[in-house]
Amino acid sequence: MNNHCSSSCGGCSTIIRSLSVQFSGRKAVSDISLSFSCGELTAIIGPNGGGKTSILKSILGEIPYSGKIDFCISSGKKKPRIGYLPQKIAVQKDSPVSVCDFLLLSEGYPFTWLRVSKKRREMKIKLLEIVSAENLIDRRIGELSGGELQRVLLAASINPVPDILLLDEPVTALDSKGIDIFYELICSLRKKFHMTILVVSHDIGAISKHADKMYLINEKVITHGTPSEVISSREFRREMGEVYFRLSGAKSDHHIYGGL
Amino acid sequence: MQFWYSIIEILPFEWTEYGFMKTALLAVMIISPAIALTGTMVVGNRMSFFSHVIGHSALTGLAVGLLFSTADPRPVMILFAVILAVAINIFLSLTKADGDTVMGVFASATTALGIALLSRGGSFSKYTVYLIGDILSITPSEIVYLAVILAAVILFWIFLSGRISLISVEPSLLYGKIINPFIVKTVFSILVALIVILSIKWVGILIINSLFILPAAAARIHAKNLRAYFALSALIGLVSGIAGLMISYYTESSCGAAVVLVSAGIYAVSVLLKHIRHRI
Repeated sequence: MNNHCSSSCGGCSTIIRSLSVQFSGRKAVSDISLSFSCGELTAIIGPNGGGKTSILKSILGEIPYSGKIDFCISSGKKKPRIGYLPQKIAVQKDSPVSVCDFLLLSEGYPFTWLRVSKKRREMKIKLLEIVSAENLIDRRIGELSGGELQRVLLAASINPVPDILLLDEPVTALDSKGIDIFYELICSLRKKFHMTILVVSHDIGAISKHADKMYLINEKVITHGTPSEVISSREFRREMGEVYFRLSGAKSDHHIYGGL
Repeated sequence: MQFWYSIIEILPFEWTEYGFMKTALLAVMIISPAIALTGTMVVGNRMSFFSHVIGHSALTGLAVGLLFSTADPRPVMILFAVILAVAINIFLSLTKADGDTVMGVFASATTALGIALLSRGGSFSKYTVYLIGDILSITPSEIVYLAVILAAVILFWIFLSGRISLISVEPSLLYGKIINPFIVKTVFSILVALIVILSIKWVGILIINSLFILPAAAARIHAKNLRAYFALSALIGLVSGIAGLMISYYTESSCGAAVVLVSAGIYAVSVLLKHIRHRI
């Protein structure tokens, strides 16, 4: 059984060199170096408060950091396009923003007070078709279920197609069947667009089935390699003891090793 | 203005004889949709407490303004409100403190400071006009201030209403997308401060926040998308403005209060309708 998506555009990598981030005097990550190849799905795992989200926020430029981040950029562009799927998004239940509005706004189109042209609308329906959510176009985002919202957010984060796609705990709102569907979707996107995908996740069982590479982070890079290398390492057992036993106990169900 | 007067005089109502009513009607028709439209963004970004703070801080602004110029304290009031608006934004983004609590602190402190300064020598009563406002006191030349507000609101709405609506959903989505959410929010805060100060004399500190909140709150219940939300809110603002002025004329009570009561009524009916629709 092989759930890995193959194909890589090769060559180009996003490289982070000696990144350090501080939060109110406390070190979130210190002096870490990572690299993410284009066309690969890289997972970042690690204990809570180990600095996983700080790495994403540094890439987004949302927080101050020291160190250097070099992006893998398709030719002819100065700045990388970053797609971002936030961890939790507190949509107001009574928000009047429709899915169509939201997709237009998130691609930077500011004139939502105008009538949406037919052409624009068609384009958004096409975009939603990628994540099988075209029927949601006229719904208010406050009314969507967790899984529906997740798909709409994913659609927004791949429009326009980013150089690097950041997913922060993307499956927390989904059940186990939804998680598999979601990751298969991500894999198909990666095949289609050859982008660099970076996933921060707690759900090591599910992500290790789909990731090409894995980093275990706890303030520093503890270990990295293929998911099977990371999960079978001594460092993994030390840092994630509890998860390790749960995973190895359930490996026949989840194909942790069988799938790799 | 002459043109406006002659249009109004066509209407078959008794009040069309009075110049002040004609001016007040024009004023209401400009200011209430402008405030209602701004309110869509205030409510969307959960900033209702912020406009409340700016409204109440007008008392302190007035006291400070009178120190500099007794003839027209408004320039200093505007400066004060803008500085306060920016300060609150910077404070919130630096401390990551709970907005609700911070606003509460700012609101109480600026209100108390204003009352303390204005009541020195026991003369607070002459400032009560700022508390309840009097739209009938507006002069034709002062309509200019309201026109400035309307223009600023429309300009902001055209270019930034989308961005600020996106911030209301998820600020992180704006990062790396040309415009920094902090800047959008600060510009918006300054707009709110401008509206409040330029209109406070005719609208009143106690009432201005309701004009921001109520039309948007009612529009939110029905709107299927942002466009409908904006349009409906401005319409509700306009209707309650005109209706409120008429009611206050015939009942001889405060215009601002009547406007608020009408829009509160519209809100109540909206909630009721939604319930009935869901039941069916």
